[in-house]
Amino acid sequence: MTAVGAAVGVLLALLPLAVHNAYFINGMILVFIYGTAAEAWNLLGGYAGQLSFGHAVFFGLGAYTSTMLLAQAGISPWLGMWAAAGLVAAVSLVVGLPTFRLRRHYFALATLALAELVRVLFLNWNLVGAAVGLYLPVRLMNQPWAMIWNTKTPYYYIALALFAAACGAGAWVGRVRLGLYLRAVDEDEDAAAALGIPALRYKLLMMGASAAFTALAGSVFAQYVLYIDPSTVLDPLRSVLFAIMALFGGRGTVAGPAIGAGFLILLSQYLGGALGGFGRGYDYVVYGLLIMWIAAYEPRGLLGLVQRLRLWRPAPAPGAEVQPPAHDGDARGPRPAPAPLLEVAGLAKRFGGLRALDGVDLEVRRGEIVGILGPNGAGKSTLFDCITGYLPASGGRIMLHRAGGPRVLSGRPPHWIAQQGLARTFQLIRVFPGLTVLEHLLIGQEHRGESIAAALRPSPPAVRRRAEILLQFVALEAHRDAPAAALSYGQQKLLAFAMALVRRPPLMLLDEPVAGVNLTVVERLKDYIRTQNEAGTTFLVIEHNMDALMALADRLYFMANGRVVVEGPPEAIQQSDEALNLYYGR
Amino acid sequence: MNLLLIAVVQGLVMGLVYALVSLGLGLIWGVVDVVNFAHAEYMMWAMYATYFAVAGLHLDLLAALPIVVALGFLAGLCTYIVLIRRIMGGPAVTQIFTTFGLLFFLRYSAFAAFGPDFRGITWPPASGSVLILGVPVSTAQADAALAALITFGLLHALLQWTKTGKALQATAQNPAAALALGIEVEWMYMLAWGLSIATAAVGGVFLLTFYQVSPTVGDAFLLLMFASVVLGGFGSVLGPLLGGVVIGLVESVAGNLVSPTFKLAFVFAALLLVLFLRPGGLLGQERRG
Amino acid sequence: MGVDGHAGDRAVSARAAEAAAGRALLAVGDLHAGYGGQEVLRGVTLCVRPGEVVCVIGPNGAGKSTLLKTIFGFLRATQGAITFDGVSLVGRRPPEILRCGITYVPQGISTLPNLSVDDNLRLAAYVRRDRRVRDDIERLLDAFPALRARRRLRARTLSGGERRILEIARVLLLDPRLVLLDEPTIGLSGAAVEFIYEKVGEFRRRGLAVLLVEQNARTALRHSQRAYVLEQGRVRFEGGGEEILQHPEVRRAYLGGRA
Repeated sequence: MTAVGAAVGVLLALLPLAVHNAYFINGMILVFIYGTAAEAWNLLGGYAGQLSFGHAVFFGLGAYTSTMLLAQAGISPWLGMWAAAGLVAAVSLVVGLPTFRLRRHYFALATLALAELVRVLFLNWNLVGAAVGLYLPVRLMNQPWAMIWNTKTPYYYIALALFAAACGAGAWVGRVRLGLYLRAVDEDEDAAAALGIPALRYKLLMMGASAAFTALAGSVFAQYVLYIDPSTVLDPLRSVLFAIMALFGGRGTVAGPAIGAGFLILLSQYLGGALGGFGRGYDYVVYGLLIMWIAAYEPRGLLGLVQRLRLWRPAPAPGAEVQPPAHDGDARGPRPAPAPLLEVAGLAKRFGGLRALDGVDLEVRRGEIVGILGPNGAGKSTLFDCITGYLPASGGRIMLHRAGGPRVLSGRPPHWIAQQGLARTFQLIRVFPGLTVLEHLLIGQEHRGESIAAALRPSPPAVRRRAEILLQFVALEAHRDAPAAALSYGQQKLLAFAMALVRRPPLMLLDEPVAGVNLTVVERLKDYIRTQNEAGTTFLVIEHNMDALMALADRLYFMANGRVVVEGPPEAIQQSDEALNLYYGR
Repeated sequence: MNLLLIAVVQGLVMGLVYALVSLGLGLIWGVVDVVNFAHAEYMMWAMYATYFAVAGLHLDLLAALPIVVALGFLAGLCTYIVLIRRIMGGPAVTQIFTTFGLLFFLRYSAFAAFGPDFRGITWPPASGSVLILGVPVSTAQADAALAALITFGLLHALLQWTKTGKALQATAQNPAAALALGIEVEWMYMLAWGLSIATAAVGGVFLLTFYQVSPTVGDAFLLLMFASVVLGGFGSVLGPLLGGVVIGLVESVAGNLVSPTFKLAFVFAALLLVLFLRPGGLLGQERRG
Repeated sequence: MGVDGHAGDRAVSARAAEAAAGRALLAVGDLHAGYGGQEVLRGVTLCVRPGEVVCVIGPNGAGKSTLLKTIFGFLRATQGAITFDGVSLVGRRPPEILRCGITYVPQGISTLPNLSVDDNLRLAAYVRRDRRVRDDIERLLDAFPALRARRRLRARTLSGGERRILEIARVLLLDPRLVLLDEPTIGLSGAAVEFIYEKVGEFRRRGLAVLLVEQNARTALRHSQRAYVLEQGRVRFEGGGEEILQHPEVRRAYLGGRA
């Protein structure tokens, strides 16, 4: 891929030497500028999964900032564009913080409204020329410091360089840990949080980078067209165009937005030439048809279409340099003394009038395997959700005792709780369908104290080694590069289990680990839990399979109607008439 | 005369019109769970259809009304069958882009067909003005507001008092349960799309008596519609009605008393505020759990 | 008590099902179905005779709910046969199957939360075209006084037990020949469970057949003429309700071992 990209870059760099058609060169400059913006949009909309329809704001603010700096203060756009990028990135973070709380359509809608708001303000703000707009100082013609020329070639190279940088940024994100985290967050934000990934932090990072690149594209655009006004650079349609280019080519890939920009801009140019009606909007009619068609039939975009036609398949993701599995043996020293690890006191959860949890007291001691048993609807999964931060408790206290002293978990977000050393699996398997098996194991690594700089590098060798070992542990080596969607139910269950194990959590919460899997896998999972327990992990397990639970657990809690009914060793629960009656009926 | 009273009355009248054109957006959002970013474009096409019926075929506006509304219903039906059915239950990305594609297609095919000119009609019965609470309001706007009230009344009656209306509500609340009751959910989706575009068409017909049409007329209305629906909450008829009126009032009061140039800014700010504070809308509740 | 099925360590063969189907109201043969590429039912064969209460028990994930969803057309069978009164149901959609005389009460809450109790009942009779619906609803409300008191309230204001009663009551409006109940007692306490089974008994007295899926196995078995134990998407045991209740292996694995 890198080689292909470099070759395309060299070809594009040589293009102006061979082609002198100004119309075509103009088209290519627009392709690069729009391509940059589309790649930038893709950083947020493709990798981070947040669909923005407000990128025209960043584009326009970039254009206005560098233009104002040049026209009012005589500051060179070579500097001004970076100032613009910085300013716009800062603005985007302020905007991003509240908007990222919104999901689905609401985020798109909020960004659209923000963009309109900014446009109305600029239309009436005299300092920036209001509706009349701003002219760049053409008296500075052909002065390189002012970035103004009356030939197209300099613009061609500036735009190409920017475009290459944007593609490079996309490619980079695609191959470091950050890209992996973002894909996981995009596929299942809750499951990513269970691994300790702070989604908001990385989304904001992408928002900033995306806004900065868009601003740079806006600055260069202003330098090229020499005139800006709210209805060109702040046009909401422009936001939609950036998004559509990325989607059209293929969201979440590097080549996608580039191909989309090239295709759509050159199509516009061609239609403008061929039909002579550039102003008549034929190009947008065709865009509209193409977008509907591609969205309804091949959501992965042109790249997906190409893949479907099997003309070209992308190379598998990098990361094939694997060490032979070596045992690092989970050396954790002697088994610790049975001190309490997790304490739950008086935990309550109400949904409207329904008491799902009605004062649950529970204690898990270090090194134990504790089971939770009870009929459907007893509140077992709700208990897990409250402990791990997915549901806010209505009352009570949850404490985790760690080396640094006890920590109160109540009221904390899931990713923070996960970072304290608490891993969980979900009753309905939550794997990331589009990520490969190996990627699942890489993504599970320790996130506590991970810096942004660390996320911008590939996973360290120690993590990769551990991933490979776990891959063997759950017997999925043969599937290491297969997407999780291609695995069977039992294999996905094993994968979810292994993914939670990668960072060696002191405490694991398993929600029905063996439900729905065949007997061989049940036995295998039981073995894994035992092995892992001997290596120092404490388990809290919800399970309906009595046999499995009796064989595993040191202690059991029996729950019904949101309360703990009986607690004790498995034999005691088996002798409890109350529990048996509640569970199996009278 | 009291400036505030004028602003409130005019805001109420325009608010009803906004409510009328937003109604269908909320209906589809609530019943079909699809957000139609192209809703305003259907209204624009209805305005063109009315223009050609009245100015071209010399029909009376009230004679054109049933034709345009029927065409709107058909257009909604076709949109669902040809396009929307394929993206139902798909990822939000796909849905958003599909309806944006629809927006491009509808808007620019009008542009290609009719050019960028503004066109309007005069409807003699709607000339002059009437007094509402002592405030003069143009008869055309008052007629449109009346049409809005009648449409809301009819739709409310359909939803509350007919078996089909109940089935439509059931589909919105829980499609699987509706299917288990023997409701042909697919037909309900078609009906919702037909009604959605038909109500937008009613709005378009009456809007044309005081508002000129051009291919980009939807620009001015799209966010107003979304503001109304998000504000009022979708999934009910009363939601968009309330939302539309509030938006009309915000626009009119802010425009008359604060600054006419920034009246839309106030509307967008109101939309953002509601999004951040109550994404379920003032009346609405979170859908399906 | 119609102890007619035989307990065995394997599913009865498709041929046996066909033979049984001669007298069966619902006959399911070698049924395969699942979600996406994931097969949940791996060849289920069972039957329900007219007027019989049949119970399906089994561990979580065995495919119990999937079985009912497939019979009612929510899921497409990938292989196998489903016949109801001699008519094949494979490939039909839920509304058609409903019109054949089968009703389905899904697991969890299937009432329409923002409609009144009255409207919920009227919609239950959605497929009926006759004029006696109103009278039937009135008669039903007589039988369920708890609902009559709340007929104008939105269903969301009812308690879990009341909503379940509403769901069960809806069945009576359609007068079907077969009722599919998916965990009717989930989340309910003792008295409500008793009430539900009382109604199941009433269904049977009216000549309705019931196919019910339960986790609360003992109570369900006691109220069933016949039962199937599902495991890994296949029938592992079948027999009379009491017979299954006493079967040593089933008792050890699913019923908590003791008497």
